[in-house]
Amino acid sequence: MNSKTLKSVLVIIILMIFSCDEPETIVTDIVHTDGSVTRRIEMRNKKKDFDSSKLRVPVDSTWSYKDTVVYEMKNGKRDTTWIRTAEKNFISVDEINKEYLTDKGCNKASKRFVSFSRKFKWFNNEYRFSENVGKGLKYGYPIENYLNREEMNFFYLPKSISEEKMAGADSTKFKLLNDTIEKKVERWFWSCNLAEWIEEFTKLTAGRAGDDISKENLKKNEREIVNMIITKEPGADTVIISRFLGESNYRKFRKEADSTSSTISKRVEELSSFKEYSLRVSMPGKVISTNGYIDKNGELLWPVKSDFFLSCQYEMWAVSKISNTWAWIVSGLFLLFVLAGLIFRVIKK
Amino acid sequence: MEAEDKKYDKVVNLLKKSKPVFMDAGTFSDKIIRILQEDKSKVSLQELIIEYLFGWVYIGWIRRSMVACAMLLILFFGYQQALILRRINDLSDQKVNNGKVVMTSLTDEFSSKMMLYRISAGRLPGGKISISEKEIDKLVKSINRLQVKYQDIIYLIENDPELKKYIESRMNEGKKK
Repeated sequence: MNSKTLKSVLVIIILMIFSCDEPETIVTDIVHTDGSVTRRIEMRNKKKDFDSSKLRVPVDSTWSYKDTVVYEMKNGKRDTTWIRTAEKNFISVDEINKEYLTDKGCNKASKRFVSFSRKFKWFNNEYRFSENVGKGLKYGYPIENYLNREEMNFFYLPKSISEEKMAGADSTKFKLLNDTIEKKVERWFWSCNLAEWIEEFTKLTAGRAGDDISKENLKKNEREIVNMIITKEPGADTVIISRFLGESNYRKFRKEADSTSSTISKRVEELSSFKEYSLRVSMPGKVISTNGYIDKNGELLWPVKSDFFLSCQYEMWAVSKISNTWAWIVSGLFLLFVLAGLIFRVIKK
Repeated sequence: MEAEDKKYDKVVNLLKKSKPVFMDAGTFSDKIIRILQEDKSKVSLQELIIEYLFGWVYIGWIRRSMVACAMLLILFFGYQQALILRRINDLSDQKVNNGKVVMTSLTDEFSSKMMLYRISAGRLPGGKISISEKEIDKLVKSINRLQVKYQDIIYLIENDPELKKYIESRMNEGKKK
């Protein structure tokens, strides 16, 4: 068995352990010109279990539901998929934001909000819609500091597409790229955590700690400590913290250090409990700009997962335009009028 | 010929001497005024419209302002369209041929769980694990080892063109099968 196969087997084992048969969710926002939004949520599950605590976005009794069952034959066995579709019309994005504030689902810890704006630009009306997820860590570093443009593009790719790339032509290149990204992302993750730890710890020990464990001095050792964390064996946190602060400082501020570690753990737990889903947006008119992916039907797609908003707000936005026919006619007539006036003047002369 | 010329001159002289008798001056003048008014009204309707519409061309500052407005409108239109076209061209990088963007990637959840595991030094949340922490430790270590080996292999392949070619051909064969 080669290492790749072994790795795949191990991943499958881990997946079996952690997989909870949770509904695969696609949230579709159909944006209208007046700012109203029709939100449709499609949840697919192998069981008829759509418990509210597993819902990625808030859904309550005011939504209209439809349940369907799909049977597929796979390897001679009948495969059943339960699909629950929920839909609701929101008069404005404020209503969606209100629902986010009272969310009781599995992603309630993340701050999410939606915005919509319309701009009159004479020949066109521009519509901008965005869905935002607030950052998980307060003092983390932006991912741009760790990944270059090519790596960033690959990092934000939906998993199905990145997997397709790794299996297709140039697979070696993409696999190498993926490996590089994984390593860099790991470093970024731990650097963010450590930055968070330093900030919280120095706040707790403000006025009492010496210069040797000032924020600036701790930051100087950040890289070295991150290297230690990456290569550490599980359970070696105490050793790392004592080396980071120095034995005497660790003894003196052990309570603060433990309290800080606990706070950071809670934040990361909240982040890691975020259940990912896909966001699909249908904009009015023609889409002219977006940071999402466009499928063959012209719909916009984004994966929503915790990696994307670890240290920075994750904004999924799109801009579309609708031409103002009357403005085109008025402008054309005005130009013709001015031209005719100038011709008239020349003739009169 | 001379006789005919003389006759002609005589007739012309007689006609010159016999002035027209002005019989009805009032009717005549009315007729003239009516004809003049008719002509005037015919011309003024067209001219009025033209003067009303294009009167501004005789006033310098209005003419210049109108031309400037037209130019600005053309420039604004050109700029706006160019901007939109550029933004639409940029979109081509973000197009995906298949629509399979649905998040089916439990591997991401796996990575985040692993990260959580590492940061919490083995304390996994949720209580949904049916294997011991020791076993997870083993898995983590073996995955790390495998990742290192895997990286080495990739590195070896990348630096050996013949090996790379061989592996790619074997992979293609595998796909065909």
